[in-house]
Amino acid sequence: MKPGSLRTSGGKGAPLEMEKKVIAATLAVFDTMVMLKTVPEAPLGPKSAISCNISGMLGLAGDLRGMLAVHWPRALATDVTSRLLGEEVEGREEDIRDAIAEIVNMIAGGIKAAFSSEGKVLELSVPTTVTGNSYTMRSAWNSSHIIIPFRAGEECFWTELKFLETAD
Amino acid sequence: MENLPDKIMASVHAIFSSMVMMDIVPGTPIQGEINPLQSTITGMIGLAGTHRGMLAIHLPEALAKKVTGNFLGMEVEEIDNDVQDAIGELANMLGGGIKAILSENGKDIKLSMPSTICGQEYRFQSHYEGESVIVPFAAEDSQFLVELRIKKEE
Repeated sequence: MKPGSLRTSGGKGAPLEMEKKVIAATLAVFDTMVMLKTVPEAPLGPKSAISCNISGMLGLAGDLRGMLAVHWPRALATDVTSRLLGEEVEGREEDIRDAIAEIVNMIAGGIKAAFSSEGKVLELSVPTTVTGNSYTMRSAWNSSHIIIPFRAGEECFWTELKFLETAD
Repeated sequence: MENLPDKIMASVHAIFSSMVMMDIVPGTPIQGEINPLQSTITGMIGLAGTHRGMLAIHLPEALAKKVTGNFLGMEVEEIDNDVQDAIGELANMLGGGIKAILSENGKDIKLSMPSTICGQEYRFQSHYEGESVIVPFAAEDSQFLVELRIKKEE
């Protein structure tokens, strides 16, 4: 299937500390669960076009309000699911969606743990997947925004975090 | 959870009558598949804390423009950032309403940041056990859906 395009928009740059947490949490999941070497690249600007056709999303609440998303081209999502399950999953759409949901859940868990070690509270909502050939995602509010591309072989996926620190 | 559809209906009705100024009529909750969504805009927000879940509102594009027009008090011609932000804010307000209903003091459930998704055809699916309800609402010769998935944490 031809990759669709996803446009993200809105937001401003984010502190380096948060970028480090997002990168570390993503790499940890790849090293321990997916067993695939992946390399972070330079963060993208807040208004970027990404070629993907499946996204895993998860809302974050507590000391910040945020939305974490991981965006995938289909071929890489299929490969990563096969590695995670230890079997070939080509064409098994439900399994691929479940795996992409689980990966965003695990990355969110890593970010939560990093917050926790600093005495901050982060609580997780539930994972959701969006699939399609052309969709747009946007978070309202003038939030901080991080998009980090990760290279895995010939392909890329992207981890995105939008957030707002809260006093709540 | 008792009467989840009734609670959603009350919360949606409160916001549409006070903020959107649009008459809506709730229908029978939908069991089963709503995907793929076509020419739709989805506003979603995560719930965390004593309950974990996700609330989403799915509006056909034409209806989303009318809702945004009423909400902002201006004519809306295309699905632009204003529409996406308005639908995100609608999800945020609905999340606030559900939080107030499910939570003893409103503090033990927290809301994530709202987000919107739109496109010609996409599939939207939550991956979590727990109770799931989808309520359709008739409005302006069209229909929108409010979807809630929620589980009380042990």
